[in-house]
Amino acid sequence: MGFLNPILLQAGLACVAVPILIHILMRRRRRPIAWGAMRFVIEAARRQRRRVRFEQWLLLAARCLVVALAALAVGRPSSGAGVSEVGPRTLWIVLDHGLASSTTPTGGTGSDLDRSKDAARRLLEALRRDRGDRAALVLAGGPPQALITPPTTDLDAVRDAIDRVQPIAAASDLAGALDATRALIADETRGARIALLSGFRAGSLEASERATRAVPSTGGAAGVVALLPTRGSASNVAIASIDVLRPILGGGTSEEGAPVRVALVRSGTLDAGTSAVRLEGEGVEPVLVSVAWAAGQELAEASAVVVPSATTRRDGVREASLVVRAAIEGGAIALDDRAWRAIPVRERAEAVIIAPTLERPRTPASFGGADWLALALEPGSRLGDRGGASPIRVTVVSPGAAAAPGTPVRIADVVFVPDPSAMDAAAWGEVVRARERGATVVLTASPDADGRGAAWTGALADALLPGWSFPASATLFAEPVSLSPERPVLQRDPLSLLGPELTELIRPIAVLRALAPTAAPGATTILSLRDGTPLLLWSAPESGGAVFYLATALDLSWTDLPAKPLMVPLVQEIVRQGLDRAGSSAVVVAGAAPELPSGATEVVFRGEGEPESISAARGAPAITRPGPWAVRDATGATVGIVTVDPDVRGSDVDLEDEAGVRRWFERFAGVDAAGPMTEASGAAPADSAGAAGGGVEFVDPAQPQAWEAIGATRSDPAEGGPWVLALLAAASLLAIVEVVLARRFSHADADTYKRITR
Amino acid sequence: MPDGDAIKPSADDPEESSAGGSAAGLESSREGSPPEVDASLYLHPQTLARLGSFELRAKMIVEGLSSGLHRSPFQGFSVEFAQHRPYVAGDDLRHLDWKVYARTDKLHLKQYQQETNLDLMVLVDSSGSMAYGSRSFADASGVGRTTSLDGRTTWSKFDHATALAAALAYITLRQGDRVGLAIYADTVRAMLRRSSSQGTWRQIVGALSTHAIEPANRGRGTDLPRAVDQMLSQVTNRCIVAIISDFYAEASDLRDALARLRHAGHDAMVFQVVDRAEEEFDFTDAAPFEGLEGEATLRIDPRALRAAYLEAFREHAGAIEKATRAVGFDFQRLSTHGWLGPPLASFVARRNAALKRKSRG
Repeated sequence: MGFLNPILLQAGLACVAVPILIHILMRRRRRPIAWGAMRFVIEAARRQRRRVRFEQWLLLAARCLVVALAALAVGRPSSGAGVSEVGPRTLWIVLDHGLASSTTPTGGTGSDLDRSKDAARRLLEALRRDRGDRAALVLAGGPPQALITPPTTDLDAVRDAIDRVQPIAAASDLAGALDATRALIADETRGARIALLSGFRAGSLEASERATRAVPSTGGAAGVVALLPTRGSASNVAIASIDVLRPILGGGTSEEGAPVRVALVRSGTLDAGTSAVRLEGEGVEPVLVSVAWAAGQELAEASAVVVPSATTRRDGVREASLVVRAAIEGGAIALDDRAWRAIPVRERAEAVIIAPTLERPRTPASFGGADWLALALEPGSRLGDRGGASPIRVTVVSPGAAAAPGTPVRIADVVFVPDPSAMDAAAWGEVVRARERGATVVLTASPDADGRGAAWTGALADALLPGWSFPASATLFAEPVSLSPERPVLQRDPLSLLGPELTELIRPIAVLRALAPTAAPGATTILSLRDGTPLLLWSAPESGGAVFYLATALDLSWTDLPAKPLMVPLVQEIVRQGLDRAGSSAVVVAGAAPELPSGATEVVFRGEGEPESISAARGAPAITRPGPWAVRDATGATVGIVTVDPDVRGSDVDLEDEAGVRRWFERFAGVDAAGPMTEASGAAPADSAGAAGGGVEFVDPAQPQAWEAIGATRSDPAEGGPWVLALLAAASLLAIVEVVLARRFSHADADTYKRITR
Repeated sequence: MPDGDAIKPSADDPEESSAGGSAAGLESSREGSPPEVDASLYLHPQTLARLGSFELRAKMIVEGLSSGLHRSPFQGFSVEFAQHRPYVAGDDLRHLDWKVYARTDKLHLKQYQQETNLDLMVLVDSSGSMAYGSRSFADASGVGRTTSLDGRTTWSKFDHATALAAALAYITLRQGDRVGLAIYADTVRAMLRRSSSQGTWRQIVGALSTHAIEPANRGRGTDLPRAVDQMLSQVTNRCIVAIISDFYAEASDLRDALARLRHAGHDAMVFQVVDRAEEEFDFTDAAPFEGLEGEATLRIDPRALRAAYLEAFREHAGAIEKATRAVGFDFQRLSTHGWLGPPLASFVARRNAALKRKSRG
């Protein structure tokens, strides 16, 4: 037996004292009556003492019992198991405002978030202020945010906060929000319930699945109520990624453009159609690219070259980067229709070749690796037709001077090591530091590998390529081996910009000797020989920078690659790819914290819309607003660009069936949902042990009575009705009996009066 | 003809010293009525009108009556003219003085000395219970006053007893007989010697008025046998004794007192004065009841006790009346809420009629 209105019950029971107080106060208030015939009063009192006392106690007990019964009635007793808790209820509203929550179903007028907010308002309306019910609000868009906590009795404030909630570009983290809520609930499981309000689209659930976490033990007993998964289908196109494949050299004043590739992803209804991708931005010429979708197609790409605008070419770029924005129109989610990316713009690239000093003039027949590299990096200057106009400045240092103070290695964007066997430990150390700084290191096999042995491979592996192993000597092919035209499909291909020309460029190349690694963990083969021997390998460790390894020496006795047309675009492309990695821009998805350059104190939004700045003095903040953000240091100078993309992991608008949601609850939310999914539509499901004992209870927002059935509300007037009616009937009957007894005992009724006076 | 004397307070009762003082005061003011006393307070004109034609007759043969109004046991005793008095309806025409009528054209009766030998001794109870009254003073007094001389706004049983005593004294004095007064509670607290002089009536009323129940007297009970003993010790001839009280003492006390009077050869009239509230006990709200004679205060619900109260009240009233009639005396119950004249006139008429029937028989 419990009570739905314990406060009213307590107040009513306190009112039992009222008849007693009235009795006492009336005794005190009366003035004594001076009476002459006192002997008859004494005689009458002596005769009637027991009867009068019995009558008084009986009347007082009846009056107190009437009040007590009325108090029990207003307390609304109920025998339900779920209402055994006496006291105020606490409702923890976990509101999904992640990317998928902004989905507007096809033909619908409101988003999933609107549906959830409406449900939250109904829940608040069903709470009872007179009982002292409280509410808290936790937002489930990643990262979860406890907006109103600890729970407050100011339900209007919670409602206002819910009204102000807007969807964010970050993916939902429902499981994380549940965990955070349980941690906040801690020991307050008595009367606490969690309402997880989401549309439970695939985007909301999948993002939560990626975040592995241990289910906390605290707060696990709090029941969870959740909306039934939405059944409103939708179709959405999102910009999955935008990649600037190489930076712009020459300060943007040249006509050199930056190739940009935009990846699109579809979800929901996959009909045939087209999407227009518009690439635009401040300082660049707008480009419009059309993407055709086949029915059922989920992924597509659009590529274009973004060139600086005429103004940019005239004035150059003052800041570190240009920012290009990709935009599409349509789709169920508007937040994922935009993506931004910084385009690195450099005045010139610094390329350092660590090799013995070149001796000029030399003939091509006597060219070493450094010569071929220098020629490929500065083809014009070497040939004398564009002297000094190349955006790549080449510096050649000897291995002995590579680690000297003021060595150009320390400012290099790309470091070429054409003869690793000539490197000493100090030189290797400097190269490693350059790579850690973000520079690209290009290694080739040593032309003297056989003569001086392969000892250098050990030093190379120790310094730059841990885990790599090399054979003791280079492979000498009996016949020149050409390169394989089949190239692997890479998620990020440094040579992708060479495009279909690459096939033609690699065809004439023949390789006589090669020193390919027998093991190259973490490396990607970009080019390989027809026999499968890897020729060009690429490794981009997490610690920064990148390493290219060419398994042949830039020597005509090893290969004719240096003399072939591929040499120049290959070297040039490697340099530009290295610039991208050495740039100061970063890309994060909404809700994540970017890695900021040292000295950063704040990030300032520099996109369209309301200005906003976030302090970074205490570390990189999590940013949920998509768009370009400028990283500022203490002096206010821009030291980098952070572009925040919508977390398209959470933009999957596919509908989840009920079984999928149930499995999700079991696997990732630590909630027992093994039983059949219940649509709470009355009092009985609300009292189910599942919701009150740590399980999950689903409610259909389309059924108005479902809200009153949710455990935290208990406002159904019919609930506890039989008890209330019985108590009220008993109280009324007793009140009538009390009136009759009072009249009879006081002898005020007519019959008694007549009998007395007769 | 013996004269009554003022009773001196006994030495063993210290409270009687003040009462004795009152008595001494009365003694000293016997020649003139207290100036502050308005006798009309206690003798309503309606009462006077109803009593004008009645005479108080002794049921028993009183000493000194020979051929006059009252029968005398002393046969052959000389009759001496005393005075004239105006004729009133009902007077025996044999005693008309036709000479006076011839001279003045007015009817007067001749009265003789021995006809005035009827002595009336009035005993008024002044115990604490007599202080109760629920009727407004303005309604009961009939002279336009709203408060009593001591400031009360209610007409107490003692006020009613005073009015009754005044009326009896008026009747007696009007027919030329002597009247004495004793005010008692647990003892006789004041006494006026019997007299038929012109100022006697005002002295009686003054004594009753000035001897209102003081707060100090409240809490005193009634000891009627003792008071009767004290009165008898001062009265040598037989007389009519009118006892006016609420008789809220034991009925046996009244029986004892009346038996002593009967044994001494006196006639007696017992008047029980009660208040209507005491008769009906119709209170509706619970309240504490505080006894006026020192009883404990009881917090009761009057409605719950009403039946038992009325039963006890009626039992006691019946016992009082039975005790009175058992010794052959007359009994009359008077309510403070009623006018004094009609019941008193009825009482005197009944008494005289009974006396006539007895004399004829």
